[in-house]
Amino acid sequence: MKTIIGDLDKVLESRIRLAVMSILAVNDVMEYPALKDLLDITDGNLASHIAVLERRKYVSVRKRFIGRKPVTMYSITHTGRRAFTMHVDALEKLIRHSR
Amino acid sequence: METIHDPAEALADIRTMMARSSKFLSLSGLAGISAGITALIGAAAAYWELYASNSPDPTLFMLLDAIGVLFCAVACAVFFTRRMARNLGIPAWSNTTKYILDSLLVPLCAGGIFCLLLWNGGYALLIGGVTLLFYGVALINTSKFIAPEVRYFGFLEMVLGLFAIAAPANWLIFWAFGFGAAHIVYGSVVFAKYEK
Repeated sequence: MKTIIGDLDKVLESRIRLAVMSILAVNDVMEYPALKDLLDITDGNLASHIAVLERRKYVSVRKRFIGRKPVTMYSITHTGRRAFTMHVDALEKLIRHSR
Repeated sequence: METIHDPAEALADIRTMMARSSKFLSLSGLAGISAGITALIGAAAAYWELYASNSPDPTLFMLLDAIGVLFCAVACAVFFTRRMARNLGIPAWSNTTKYILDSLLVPLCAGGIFCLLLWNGGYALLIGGVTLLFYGVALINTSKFIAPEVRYFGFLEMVLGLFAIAAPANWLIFWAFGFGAAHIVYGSVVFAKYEK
């Protein structure tokens, strides 16, 4: 049992970070406002969670100007996708073993 | 910080987030198919009026036909989109819907006004092609919020529009192909790929 729990990614145990990764797994790019809308949380809260993901190189950040307005866009990285897949696999394994 | 301890709950969360954020949600293939069928019926009616009925002035008939097709196609799109959203348990009116409408309506309004000007200037034969052209532009503009396939569909509509403008005598054929047949093919592809 210990080894199975060991596969879980500490970074992705947070509900919000897991949600961000789930959204980015199925969307090539996501703009900050859309992300915030989906998650229904405050700016500060989202920013700190994304900073963690960025530090781990799970997401990449790009800034673009649409007209004069800067828009931040997020994508999942290769590392991020692998971590996400492994985390989901570990969750599935946990469920199978607890039955 | 909120952490999830139950793995089943975590997986359910992942599922919800993926479904709610997915771009394809607001787009139903059935809406495309029904819009295509409506357009074909409208085109057949127009063909009958222009080439078979010998009526002296087809303007009113064509106008009513166009409004009828537009109304039916939009009504079908709203119906199928709402049904799809309800089945998936997500709101039909979301930020994405707003972006989609915004990027669709701006080019479409410009095209609509342009068509009125053409009609006013006596270039009624060009209107069919121009509607295709602007519809194509609107689709390309919107494709970033929907499926990537929409982009190619938009290019196809644009090219058909240009052909219709280049050969105004045959505009109805291009129009029926672009708004009718292409919608049905596109709707079937989307339906098979995302909704089955």
